[in-house]
Amino acid sequence: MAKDPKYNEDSIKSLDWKDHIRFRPGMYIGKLGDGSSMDDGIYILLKESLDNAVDEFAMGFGKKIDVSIKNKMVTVRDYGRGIPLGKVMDCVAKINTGAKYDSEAFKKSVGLNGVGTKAVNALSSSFRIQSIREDKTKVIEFIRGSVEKDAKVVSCDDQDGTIVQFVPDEKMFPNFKFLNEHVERMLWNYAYLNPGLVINYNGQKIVSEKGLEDLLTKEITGKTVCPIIHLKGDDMEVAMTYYDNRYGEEYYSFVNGAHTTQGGTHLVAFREGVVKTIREFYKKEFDVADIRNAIVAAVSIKIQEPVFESQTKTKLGSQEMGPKGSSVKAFVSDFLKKELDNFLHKNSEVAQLLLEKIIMSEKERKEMSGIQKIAKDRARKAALHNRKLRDCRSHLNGDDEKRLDTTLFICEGDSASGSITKVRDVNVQAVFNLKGKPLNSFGLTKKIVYENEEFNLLQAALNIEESLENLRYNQVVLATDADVDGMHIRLLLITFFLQFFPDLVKNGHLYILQTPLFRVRNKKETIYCYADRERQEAISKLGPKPEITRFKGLGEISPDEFKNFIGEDMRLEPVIIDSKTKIDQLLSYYMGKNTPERQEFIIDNLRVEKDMVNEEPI
Amino acid sequence: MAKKKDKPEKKKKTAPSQSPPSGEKDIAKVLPEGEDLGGAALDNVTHVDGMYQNWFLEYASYVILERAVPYVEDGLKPVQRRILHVLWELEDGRYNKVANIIGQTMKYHPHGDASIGDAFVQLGQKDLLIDTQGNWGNILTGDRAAAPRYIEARLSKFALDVLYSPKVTQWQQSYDGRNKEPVFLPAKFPLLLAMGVEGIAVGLACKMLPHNFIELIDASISILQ
Repeated sequence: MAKDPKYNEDSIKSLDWKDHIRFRPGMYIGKLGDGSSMDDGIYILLKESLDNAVDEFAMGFGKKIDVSIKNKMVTVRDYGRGIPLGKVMDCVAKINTGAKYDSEAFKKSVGLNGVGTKAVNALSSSFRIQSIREDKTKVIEFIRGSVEKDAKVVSCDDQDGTIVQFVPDEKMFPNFKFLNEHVERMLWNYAYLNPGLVINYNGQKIVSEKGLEDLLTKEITGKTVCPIIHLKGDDMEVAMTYYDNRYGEEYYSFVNGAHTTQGGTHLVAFREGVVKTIREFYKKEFDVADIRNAIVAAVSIKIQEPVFESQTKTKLGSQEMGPKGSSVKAFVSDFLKKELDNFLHKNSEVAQLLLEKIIMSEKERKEMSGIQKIAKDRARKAALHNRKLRDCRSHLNGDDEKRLDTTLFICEGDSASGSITKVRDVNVQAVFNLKGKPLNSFGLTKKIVYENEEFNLLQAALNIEESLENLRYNQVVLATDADVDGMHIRLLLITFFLQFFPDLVKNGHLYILQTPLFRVRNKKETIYCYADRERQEAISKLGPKPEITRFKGLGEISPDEFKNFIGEDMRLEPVIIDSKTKIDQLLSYYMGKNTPERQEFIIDNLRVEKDMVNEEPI
Repeated sequence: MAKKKDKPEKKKKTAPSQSPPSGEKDIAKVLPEGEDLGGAALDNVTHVDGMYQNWFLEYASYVILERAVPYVEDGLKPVQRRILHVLWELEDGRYNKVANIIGQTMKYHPHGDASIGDAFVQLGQKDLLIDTQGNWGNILTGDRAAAPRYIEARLSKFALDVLYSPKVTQWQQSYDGRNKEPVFLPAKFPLLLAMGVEGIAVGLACKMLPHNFIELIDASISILQ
């Protein structure tokens, strides 16, 4: 009997709060990651710190927030009321502590469960909090959640407020780095939702006057049918318009100032509400798809005690507006019924433009329906057996805990798909095989997605025909050779996505797989180099005569080696749309018809590369 | 681009939180207003427009320089030049199997055998530089040539006279650095005009009709005189 594992009083453990957070970070901040993706943990840490600062602003205290990120250290300083000095320790180091439990002090805030700041604390290699309140201040410092220094309350003549400083823990987030784009995007969202709030980010002033209207103006990358319709009411704000020549729907939804990237009940209600209102206004039973086609909208709603589907607050689950309130659905529907209806009555030109757009969508859809039927039959076959796809077990639209890790590699020819298929993690990594170069989809209508078998299968594999909601993979990775034809294929594929599924790119799902260009090795050590500079460093490190292999195509890398490049240390370069870029112009310039300017541009920038023999051989 | 200059900052280890400030003066200093908040030492990423520009230029340059457009010096596209260089290396007066020549050409031309084979057949059909043996197809009826394993080729007398001169040839490393190949062949004849060419690259295209051989000789003579 001695062999049996003991199960007695000693086996029951209760983890300290910080150990629990570090043990199960997923429960608190979603996924970990290194910062290349928008939903990586380090941004959640920043968000948690900011939420508290913004809540202060929303309550009317402090018009300004200073944010700086330097040397991996994040500083957030608000000019609100400051945490009551006696409770600073509890607020950041005692789980389930906070002022936001009873709805009085913070009526409609995001931070709720008293968990956020503690998670930041526990997951930071150093964490410092300072509260300034009525000319007195208190500082506490932590390392990975343990108190390092607990200073006494001293007097201070700075303005009231709270300063949070932290460095994310390298042990939890290996090689992390903050991407400026992701941070700015996040801060801008805060600014749009809190008109008047001044965010001072590394010296840059981020402020919005018109709220959601500003957001749409910035996000819209093409021609629109009508000017932005901006509706504002108690607890709800909407800005919407339609793209002229675009497909799909584009939404930016927010609850109490937090960006709900995955939508939720409020977005569902909004989509239904728009359809209902428009049908009633025009007194016509338009098809749902025609009313929503090419819509782009930002929706913000304020709810008492919102319920989210997880601590990361990316999907709203609340059915009611508050403990005793009406349902979210009814509230949103009533709001649109009243405000949107009024707006359309007052602005008959806009109403006319909208009507034309809807009728055009209808016409286009009917033209496509014949083709779609063939495609549907094909899709049914594809669903049973998508012959270009080697699927994985979990999917983003499933409920597996690994769903955020799901990755689809889009491979060029047979060069890499064999290797990746062999060494991939079958649970979360799938492979899609392209044959040759895909079609240049610039200037084509969506018909081509159904007519071209390859595009159709890709669409079926990603499951994005209707909307992005049921996307099956969180990361869509282009794995092409690092040679010129590989680059061309990347261009063609990104064009395809930008043309027909821009949301996929905008929401940061698209990546490029970085594979090493060189392998430098001697008998003892192997170094993979991703750039010429790294190669020279490796050569000088490995001494006299290392063996140098140049990987021109992915087919030159053997499967066992490939494991290193798609495993934990996988290097992904996100495809990010700069807010200043006009996508339509970009595509027509590079992918459209040849123009004299483009010819000039090519001639002026021609890249010549020659290895002459009289030069020193490599 | 200005942000790049700040990158070295990252290497300095000056995280204030690791050397805790003490006393109230230091506390106030943690976030002094307006001091060097600019120039974030964040990582810069390439945006989609940068990606487009970079890849587009790489691809366009390659197609223009290495694929579709001939050099004015010898009138040859790189694949043709490589085939002719290999033929010259193999030259011993006998015919060689085309399949074999294609295989040898791959030392210099890192692409598929089919594309090299097609280029070779086209070159042979011009009936100028290559002495052919077997069914090389017919450009007038559109019949295709026999498979590379059946047909044979060697350099024509004309090619041997006009194209090669190792001493005045400029050499470059082949793509894998294992061999050397000519940058262009020192042709003693306006080959570009004689053979004609058609090539569509990115942003640029090239179209030249073949010219009469006798007239080219007459013209060359009068220019030389």
